[in-house]
Amino acid sequence: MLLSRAFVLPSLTLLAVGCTGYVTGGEGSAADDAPRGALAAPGGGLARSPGAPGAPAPGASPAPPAPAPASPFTCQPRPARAADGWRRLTEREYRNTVRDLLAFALRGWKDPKDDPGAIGSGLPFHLLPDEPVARGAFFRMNDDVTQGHVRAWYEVARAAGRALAATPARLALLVGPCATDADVGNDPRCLADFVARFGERVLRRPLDAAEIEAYRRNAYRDLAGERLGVDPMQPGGGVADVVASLLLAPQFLYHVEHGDGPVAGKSGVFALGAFELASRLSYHFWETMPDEELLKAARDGSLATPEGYARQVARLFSDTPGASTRVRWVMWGFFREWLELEDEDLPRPHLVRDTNLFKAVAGADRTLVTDSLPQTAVEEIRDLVTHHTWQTPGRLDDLLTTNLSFARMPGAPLGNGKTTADLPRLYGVAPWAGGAAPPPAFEPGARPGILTRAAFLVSGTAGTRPILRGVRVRRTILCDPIPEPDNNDVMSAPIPEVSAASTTRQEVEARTETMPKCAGCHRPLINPLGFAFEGYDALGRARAVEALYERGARDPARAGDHVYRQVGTAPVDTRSVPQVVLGDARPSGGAADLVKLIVDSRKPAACFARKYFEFTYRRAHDEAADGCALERLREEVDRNGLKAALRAVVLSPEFRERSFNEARPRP
Amino acid sequence: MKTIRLTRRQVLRGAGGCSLALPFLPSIVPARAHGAEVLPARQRYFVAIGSYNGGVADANMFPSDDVLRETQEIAPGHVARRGRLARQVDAAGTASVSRVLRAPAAELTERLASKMNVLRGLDMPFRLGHHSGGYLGYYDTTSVGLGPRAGEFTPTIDQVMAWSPSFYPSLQGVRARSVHNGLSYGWSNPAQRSGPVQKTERFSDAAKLFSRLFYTDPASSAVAVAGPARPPIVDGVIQSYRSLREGNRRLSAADRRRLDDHVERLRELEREVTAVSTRDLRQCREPMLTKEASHQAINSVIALAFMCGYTRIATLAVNEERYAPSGGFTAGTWHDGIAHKHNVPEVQETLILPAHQGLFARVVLDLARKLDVEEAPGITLLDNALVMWTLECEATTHSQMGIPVVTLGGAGGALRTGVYADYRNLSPSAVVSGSVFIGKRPCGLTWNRLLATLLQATGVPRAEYEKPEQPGYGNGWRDAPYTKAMAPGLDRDVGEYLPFLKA
Repeated sequence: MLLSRAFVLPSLTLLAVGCTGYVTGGEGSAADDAPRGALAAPGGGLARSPGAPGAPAPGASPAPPAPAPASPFTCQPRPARAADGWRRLTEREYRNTVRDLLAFALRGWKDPKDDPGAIGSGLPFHLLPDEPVARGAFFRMNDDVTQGHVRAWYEVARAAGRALAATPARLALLVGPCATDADVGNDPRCLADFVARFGERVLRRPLDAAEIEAYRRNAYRDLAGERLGVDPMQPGGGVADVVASLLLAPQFLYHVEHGDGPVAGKSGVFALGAFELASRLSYHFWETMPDEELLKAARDGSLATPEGYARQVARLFSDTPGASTRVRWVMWGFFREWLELEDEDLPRPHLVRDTNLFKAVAGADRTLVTDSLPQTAVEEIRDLVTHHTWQTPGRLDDLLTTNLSFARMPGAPLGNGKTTADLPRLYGVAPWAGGAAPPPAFEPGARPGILTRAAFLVSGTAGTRPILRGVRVRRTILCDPIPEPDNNDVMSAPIPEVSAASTTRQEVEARTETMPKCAGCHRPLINPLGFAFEGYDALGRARAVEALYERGARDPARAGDHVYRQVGTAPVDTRSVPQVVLGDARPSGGAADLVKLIVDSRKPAACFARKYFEFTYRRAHDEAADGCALERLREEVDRNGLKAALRAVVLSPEFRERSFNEARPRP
Repeated sequence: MKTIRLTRRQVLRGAGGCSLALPFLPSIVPARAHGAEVLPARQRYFVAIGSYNGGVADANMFPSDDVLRETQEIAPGHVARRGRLARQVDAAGTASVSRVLRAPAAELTERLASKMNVLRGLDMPFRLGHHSGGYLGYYDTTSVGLGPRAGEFTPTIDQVMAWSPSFYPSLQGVRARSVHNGLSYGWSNPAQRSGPVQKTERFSDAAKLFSRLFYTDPASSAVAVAGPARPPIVDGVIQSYRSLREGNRRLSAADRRRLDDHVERLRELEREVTAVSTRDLRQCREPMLTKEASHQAINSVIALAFMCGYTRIATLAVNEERYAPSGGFTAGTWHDGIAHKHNVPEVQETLILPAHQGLFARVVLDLARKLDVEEAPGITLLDNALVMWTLECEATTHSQMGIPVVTLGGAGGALRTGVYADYRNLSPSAVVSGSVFIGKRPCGLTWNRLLATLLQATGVPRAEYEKPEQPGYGNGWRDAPYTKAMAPGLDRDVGEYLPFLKA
């Protein structure tokens, strides 16, 4: 069948811009005459619609891979983008930094009353405002500073100051023995030394003489000025104000960077100073202030040398006990946010486990749907990522293809009073003992990679929700934009919870692929990806058939609920033309094929580059201006694997410089 | 400085669960609240409650058309209707104004019903789908193909009020100009009304809100941080920001803006930490504690804070799902599984209707009841307040044509109450359809006129918020089919009070 020009052009436009939801241009347009399911393919041919003749049977190998796609990024010299304002510390960074400062201030403590951990837990961190973050963004990118932040920072700083200066013992630890000796004559010097020493930690750089003097004078604020005989070193005295003033300084609360010398060939771009670089490194890998060794490297200039810098990078990124805990936790935070595994992202199937339909679908496995199932599922992904990043460093592809199971034994502690749900039973696999124990393996192709694990499959309903599965893969793994739905066509024809005659897939197709507005996105971008996972039910269990239910009368035993009766089964159809690369007509037989197409496309590497760039630089990427950095990251993860890419970002020139360019007015 | 001493222990006592130990107002509020004699005349309070999704059938949401006995031609060919709200009590002792607006007769009293308004026919006349701040004028980026010009976001009106010298002629005793949990957007530098429009500080639960408003000092109870109180140090902190701002170190324009914004925040902080209330705060000091569910606890904190003069503005985002009966909800999310099925009669009747009934009775009415205590002889906090409840969408989820609005309180005498107003133009020529609009809807009055009404009713004059070329509040964009359906001349009145409401 020949395609009309009127169809091909809008379709191509749609694919280019990520679909707009308006494919046909309204009723009666020429596009309405085009066959449903037809898509423009490269060369003007037709892509096969899902389930169309020629699509492979489930499990069959897909067609030979297309030639390796070109990188979406181009590295060309371009003007640096306009500078963003300094980012504030995130809540995690702020808490970590205050905690580490308390430990530094009271190092050598012996009396349990002076335990910095206990003191820290008494500070009013609960006043910190919630940190909402937009979907697809990272907490680090949230730079809103509200009145609540300023108020909370103030109260924490004041409380910390009072706590540190509360007793002679703490003053001695904080300021030094000169604070509590009998000689008041040494107090000015004693205070100045303290400000210089403690201030360097708080402001993350040495203070100049004027700053030392300004902060030192804060000790006399309530004493009508500094004068002979006035002692600010009393417990509860002015030292508290010195501490609080430092904890409220812009250089503490923000990632303040002034830059050093200009970067050759980059107008408006300056290299970071040694202390600024130390902070960037430390906050990127550890989400806290630089430690003594890093500060020392900044002080002695070694951080400015390639060897010295590499040494510090290796140390911060190392697997030594202290460092590995921090860097692993922080890097897991990147994956957790990237893969949308934050608590608020997770489905909550346990909320519906008592409904009749869910009972019918889950059967005996309903008891496995506990309130810890979502967290258990996330922990499995964490263990999987940890294994392929740190324990057996691998490639991004491994996350998508591994057949290793990290489903722990049920009843393992989750750290919040809950214990792991019985994921192995849902999977039908032996439990993993954790730690160094070898993880059991699934049958080849049975459950490749993260996309076929509970964290991505459990829907929170009795049905599978292929639309949401498809959206998640498209948006999160492939980084393709999908517009939000903006009409209620689906609402006027809602996808029923159950059907006695149709599979979930058939219901979704009928309601999203027949109306042009919906079909514009659903048919090429969303549904084919979601349908590939129909071989897994709403609990993440593998299945070959889907049970069909009939909804009966109201259940007198459960208000608002109905009686459901299974009336038959239907084979699940996992075939589709997923268009991992838009316009690619190659079909997929199911999840394993789809994963292979995804891996072949190399799109996850580009997606990783975009996401890790944003995590690192705390801002949205600009595909043109940031093309070089993005391409380096993409190449690194593609060639050298996850661990190397996570580390390599700090070795790039962009990490060590800052733009001070001004925003150009819009034309 | 006179302060309320609530210990950390008190604050945290109930914070571990879904309920929180908080003051139960009816038991602690005297017949006449303290300090009334020093209050400025009719100072006003504002609360906006926004619930998500909508999808409440018109027949459930609105009173019967039978009460709409008066008409007014508000523009040539556009006849609006109004009537008195009628409260009916059934044999079971349930009072109702509509199927949604109902509660036990002892709670939805005749007195409270007479302080209500129900408004129908208020439209966001452009493509929106979803929003999280459009209730109050910020049509956010989750909207697709937004009619309003991209990037031109306006603060929500609670922030206009919060920084209005007319709303707050005195900030004495005010600890937070406004509090909210998710609907509010303001300038990054609200004092100067400059910088990007961003989310404002939000509280996630009653404990956070309580801490924000009533927190003073942990020293009295937290042994680990014990130490005597110290005088404020804000002025010295401001100096450190100025030094950096005016020093010779390299700064980008964005860095300078960041510092300027922070200095303004510090000035506000200085005001907050030195705020001295002129009211008698004894009732705030040692409240009787009881346990309430989260929204009711938040209501208690808001009412107590209003009474103590700690704030006068609050906005709440409430998920109606929480008030749905349990058992029949089998979908993954309320939005997809229930709200999208609003036109399935069974879903409407067994889930959407009771959820909104519960939300009205247990959130909206609960707050109104807690505010209905005397602030001055014969005048309650509610009389001086404007409490608004509205929904993200109208009867059809994703659509914003004819969004229901319910108000309680007289805004210090500025508003008439007891009114059911229907602003829809029911003439055949005023049907809006096509383009970005879902189905066919009668053209009503635009949302920016509602926002202008709310601002004026709470004492904010037009000069403080209106752009010369654009009457009403904020975004005046309309998509073409809407403009075409509008009666001629209606444009001119967009900055005026909504008909029937001005006292």
